[in-house]
Amino acid sequence: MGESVPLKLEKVSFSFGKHRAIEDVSLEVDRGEIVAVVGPERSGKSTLVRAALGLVRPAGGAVEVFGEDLASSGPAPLRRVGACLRPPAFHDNWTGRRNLQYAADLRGFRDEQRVNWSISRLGLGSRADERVSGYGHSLRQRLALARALVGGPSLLVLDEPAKGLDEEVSRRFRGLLVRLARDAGVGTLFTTDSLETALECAGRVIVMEGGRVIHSGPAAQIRAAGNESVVTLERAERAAEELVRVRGVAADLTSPETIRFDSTVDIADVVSWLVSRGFRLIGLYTQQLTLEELLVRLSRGPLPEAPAAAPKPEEVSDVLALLDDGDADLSAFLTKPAGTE
Amino acid sequence: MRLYIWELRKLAGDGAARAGLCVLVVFLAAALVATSVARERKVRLTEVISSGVDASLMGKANGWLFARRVLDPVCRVLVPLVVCVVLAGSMAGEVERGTLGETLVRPVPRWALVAAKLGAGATYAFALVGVAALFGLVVAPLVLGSGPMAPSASGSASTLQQMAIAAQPTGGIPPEGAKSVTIPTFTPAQAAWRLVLAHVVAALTLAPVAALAVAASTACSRTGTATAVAGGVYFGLLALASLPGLEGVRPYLIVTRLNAWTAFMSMDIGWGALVADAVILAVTLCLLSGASILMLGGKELSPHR
Repeated sequence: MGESVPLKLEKVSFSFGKHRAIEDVSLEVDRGEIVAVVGPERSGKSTLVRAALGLVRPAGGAVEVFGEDLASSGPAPLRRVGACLRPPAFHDNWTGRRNLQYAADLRGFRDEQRVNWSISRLGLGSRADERVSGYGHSLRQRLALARALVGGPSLLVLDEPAKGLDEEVSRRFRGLLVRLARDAGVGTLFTTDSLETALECAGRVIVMEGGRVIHSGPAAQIRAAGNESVVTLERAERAAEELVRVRGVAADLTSPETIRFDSTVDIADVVSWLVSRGFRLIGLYTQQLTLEELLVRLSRGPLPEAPAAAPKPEEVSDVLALLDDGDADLSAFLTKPAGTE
Repeated sequence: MRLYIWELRKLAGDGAARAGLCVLVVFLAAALVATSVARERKVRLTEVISSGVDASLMGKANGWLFARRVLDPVCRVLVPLVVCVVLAGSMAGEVERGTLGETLVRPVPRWALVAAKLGAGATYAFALVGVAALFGLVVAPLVLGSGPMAPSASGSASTLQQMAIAAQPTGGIPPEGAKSVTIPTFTPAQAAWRLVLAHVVAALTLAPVAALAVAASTACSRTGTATAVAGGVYFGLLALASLPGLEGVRPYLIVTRLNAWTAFMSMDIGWGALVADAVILAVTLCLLSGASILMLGGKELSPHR
C-alpha cells in the first residue's frame, strides 16, 4: 500500500469575522513535489498555511496530513511536518541553538547532530550560540528555516521562506529544497509573492488572489506563457505597424523605441524580418512576467496548456548546478534515529 | 515531562519571574530587619499589657514567630500577586510574541501545553514559598534566635491574656506569690516541624492560584488584560471572603482554603478540615485546568495583521 499524500486541502474556507480570508481552496502536495503558492499581500497565503497546520479551524472543507484529518486526529500527523510561519517567532532570551533544541525535543528528537546539520546548512555558524534578541531580520529568517528542517520532516510548509534572506542564502536554500525533494522525497508547500522565486524551484504553481485560487498548474505552463521578448530599435512605431499589417504579428509598442512580443511569437523570425526591412536593431532581451502582469493576464482568461514532456534529467541537474553548491550532505537529514519515525 | 522542563526554563529566563522573586526577598529581608529592630520595644510593650503572663511567650519575636507571622501576608497576598502577574504572561505572552503557534505546530497537544504551564507555574509558586521558608526557618532563627512558640493563629496579646486568665483556678487573680502563669506551648522542635508542614501545605494551596492565572492567560490575548483578570478575580474573592453575610459561600472560596496552614498553629491539628480543604482545592484546580484546556482548544492563531 502506498503512503498517503502528505498534504491535501479540500475546499477549505476560513473567515476573520465577516472577511473571507480563503474560500474553497483545494490543493495537494505529493511526495517529492514542490508546490509554490503565489499571490500579492492579503491574498490568503498565510491563512492557507495556518489552516494546513491546524492553527486555524476551517469553516468549511477538510485538511488531511498524511491521510489523517487534522480536525479529528488532532496535531499528531504534524509530527512529520516542518513549518515556518511568518513572521518567525522565537524565545528571544534563548540562543538560536536552544530554540532549535526546543523544536527538536518537542518533535521527539534529542539528536544534537540534527541541530548541528540545520545550523550548518543555513550558515548560522557561531551566531547560533548567541541570543536571538541580537539577531537581525535575515538571521532570524535563517533560524526559522533551520527550525523547520530540524527533525527531518517528510513535509515542509513554509510561509514566505525567502523573505528577508540575502540572495546567496536564498539560492542555497532553494537548492536544498530541490535536493530534499529529489533525494529524500520531501514534499514542500511554500508561499511567496515573488513569481520568479516560485518558478525557479517549484514544479507546480498555485496563484491566489482575494482568498481564491485563480490558477493551478505546472510551473512550465507559466514559464511558457510568461516569457516575453523586448526589442529595442529605431522607428519602432513604423516597425510595429508593418508587423501587424504585413506579417499579422501582434506587436505591443511600449515606447517610441521598444516593442514587446508575447511568448507565442517566433522572435528569431521577427527580428530577421525587421532587419531585412531595414530597421536598425538596438537591443533584444527576454523577460518573465511579474506577478502583477500574470494576474492581469489571468484576468483575461486561462493560460494555454504547457507542453506535457517531463523535464529532462539534464534540466534538473542544470537547476541544481544553478541553485546548489553541490556539497550539501543530506545523511544527517535522511537518517532516522532509532525509536523515532 | 520534557515539555514541563522546557516551561520551567522559560520561567527561569523570564524577567517578570525573576523580579517577583526579588520582590519577595526584599519584603522578607525588610520584615526581618524591622522585626529585629522592634524586638526590644515589643517585649516591653507586651510586658505592660500582659502582667502575670510569662513574657517570654509573648511578643518577644523569635525565628519561629517571625516565620508564622510572615507566612500569612506572603501566602495570601504577596505570592498570589506575583504568581498572577508572572503567569498572566504564560499563554497570553506567547500569543503576543507569536511563539504559541510555533510550539503547537511542533506538534504539541494543547492539553499537554496547559498541563506543562500549570506545572511550571505551580513549581514557581512553590519556589517562592520555599524562599519564605528559608527565611523563616533558617535565617530568622539565626538572627532572632529560636524558642518556644505559643499556639493559635492570632497569637495576640489579648487572646493569650484571656487564655492565661481562664487557666487561673481563682478566676483571674494570680495566686499570691505566683510570678507568672504559663500556657501550653510548642517546644522549639515542635514549632520547627509544624512550621515546615505549614509551609508545605501553604505551597500546595497556591496551585489553584497558579491555575487561575494560567486560565486567565489562556482566556485573554493580552498579558495586561490577563493580569487584570487574574488579579481581579483573586483579590475580589479575598475581599468577598471578608464581607458579612456570606458564611454559606465562604468555605468554598479558594482564598479561604489558603488558610489551611493555620491548622498546624493550633494545639490540636484539624486533620479532617485539612482533608476537606485539600478536596475543595483539588476540585478548583481541576475545574480551572479543564477550562484552560477547553479555551486553548478553541483558540484561533491567525496570522499577524
